[in-house]
Amino acid sequence: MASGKAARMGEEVWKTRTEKINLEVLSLTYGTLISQLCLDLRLASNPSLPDYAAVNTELERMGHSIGLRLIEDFLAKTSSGPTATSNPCSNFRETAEMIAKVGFKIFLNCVPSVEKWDREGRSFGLVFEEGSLGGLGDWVELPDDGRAQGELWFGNLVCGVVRGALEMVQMQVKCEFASDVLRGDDTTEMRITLIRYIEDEMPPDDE
Amino acid sequence: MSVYSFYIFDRHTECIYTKRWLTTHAPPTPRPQSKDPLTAPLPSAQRQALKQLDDTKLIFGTIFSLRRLCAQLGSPHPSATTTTNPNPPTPTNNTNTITPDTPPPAPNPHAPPNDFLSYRTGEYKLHYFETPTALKFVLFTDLRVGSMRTVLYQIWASLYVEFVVKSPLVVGDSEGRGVGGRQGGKGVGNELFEGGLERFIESIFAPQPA
Repeated sequence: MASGKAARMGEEVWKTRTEKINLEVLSLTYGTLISQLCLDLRLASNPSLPDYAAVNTELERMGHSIGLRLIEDFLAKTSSGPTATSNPCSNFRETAEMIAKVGFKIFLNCVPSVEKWDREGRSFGLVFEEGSLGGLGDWVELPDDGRAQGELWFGNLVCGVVRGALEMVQMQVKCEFASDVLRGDDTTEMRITLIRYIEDEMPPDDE
Repeated sequence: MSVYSFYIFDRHTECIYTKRWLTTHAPPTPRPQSKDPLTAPLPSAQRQALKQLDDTKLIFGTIFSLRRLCAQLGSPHPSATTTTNPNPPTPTNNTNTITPDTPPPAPNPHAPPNDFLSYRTGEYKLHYFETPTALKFVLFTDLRVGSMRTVLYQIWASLYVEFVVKSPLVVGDSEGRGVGGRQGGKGVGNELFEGGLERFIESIFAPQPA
């Protein structure tokens, strides 16, 4: 089965071809980043309150830049030779499996499940069982100011990463959180929707 | 066995890296100069830069057209239109077999198994390798060389990804277009990448014993 193959590939690459750092280091660094962004980005109307919408946007933008580069690393790690790289996923379902079983496994060591496909097969959800994004959200409490719970998406950087990475392989997607355990929901779910396949760029015309 | 030059093109059709090796390759004959003062010859440095720009554009145009040619003459993809099929898809592992009753949902039109690999003239051989991120590697060698695809793959996986993609100092894909960005053929050059490339090429094209 395709998903079995992807899962095995993810395990194998994670065991052999990745350098690893301490998960707590990553969680603490990421948490510090978020809290610093909350301190820096303030509402225009009321500078004593953080602007969570702007924090979300900024995280997504940062993630996008990361994703542009991360995809090359991912492709280099998961292909074994030149012939293998010319066999990309033949449809969006395979792409979803690769993201969930291989991508997240290699980079965050967590394997979300791919669920809740829409009728046309252009949108799916990634559900993280163990809580927020495989450990990124450990020891995190959202600020208790009544607004953060409703506005801040803690893992929005990862959304940007997925969007940037898929953009480099000619897929324009929309990636956003649907629910988050940090907000009190049951599961953390990220929804990814394919908008379109991007055409090759033509060289500019001279004359 | 010698290598003449090496180019990298990014997905925005720009040449982001150029490398030429000095060989005993005969220099091209200079174009006839016109006597008209309006089209007087430019200083040689500018002429060199223009020629390099022309070369890269020419090379890109060639590989772009060849790719399209191969894709069109090769085996067709399944249709790229989406379907409202509620049944689970049957896995299609080869674009040649198209099952008309359960078409796969949202298939990827960018799945070319029939990319062109290289071409040869009487003078040189051009090797081509493209990554799924539409990064194109082009290598010019002499005629006695076999397939360089694994070499190009290694350059990408061990040198480009390690020293260019992972370097925070190198301008990335969507950052800085135009003069300050990746154009000009030196966009992604940094010492580690260049040094690694030199050593790698030297190890492959080691001078033969006389």
